[in-house]
Amino acid sequence: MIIRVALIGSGTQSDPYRPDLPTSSVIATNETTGRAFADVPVADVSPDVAAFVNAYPTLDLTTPLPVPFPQSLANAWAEHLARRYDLGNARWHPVVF
Amino acid sequence: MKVTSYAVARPGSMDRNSSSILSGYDAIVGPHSQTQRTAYTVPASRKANLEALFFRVSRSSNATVAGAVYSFIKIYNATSQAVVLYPTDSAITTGVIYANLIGTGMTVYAGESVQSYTADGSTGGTVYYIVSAKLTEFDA
Repeated sequence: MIIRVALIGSGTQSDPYRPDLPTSSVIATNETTGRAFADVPVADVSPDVAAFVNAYPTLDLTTPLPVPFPQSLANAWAEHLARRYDLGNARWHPVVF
Repeated sequence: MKVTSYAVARPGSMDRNSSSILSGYDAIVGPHSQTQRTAYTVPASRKANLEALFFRVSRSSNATVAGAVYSFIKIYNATSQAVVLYPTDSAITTGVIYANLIGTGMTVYAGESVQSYTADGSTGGTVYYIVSAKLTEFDA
């Protein structure tokens, strides 16, 4: 599913701009606003995060969300990814932005 | 006397709960810093065959000053990385900068991540990037 997520990184070779996701295909980025449209596997998105994304559709990479992405959902998404990939200390903290 | 073997051949990788992974990026963009375009991470208890990689990079509008234009794929694990492909070139006028289709036999293991990036150090102009990878993931 396509989600507008926050970019992390600084655009350098050692710290490139990227979504904080284990698996994604970026469709478009805006490094100035720090946002990207990313195609994320459905299995990587917890149902409550999917519900939030569907409730607040985004059409561009500049307009802010009408409500901030709740920290509780961010934590739940990180836990979902940690369980799904089960790679020890590997952690991702994506944020709908 | 009847002799029975309990040894059973293990199914091939394609018959071990396999799934196809299609990872791609296709866009025309202007000069930009190094940016990740695709990522695929192998979950625990799985492996993946990296079967094919494809790049095509062409300048779609002229640059004022040409800089290095590149797209590349890396495989990361927790502590190190291996660059699989790192073509780079610069061109000021429109046209294909480079294109590659590569079949690979690489196996990617749990915890490793196949990631593609692009960057364009030019001033002005736009470049059309197609970067894609085809993998098959299966039970380790």
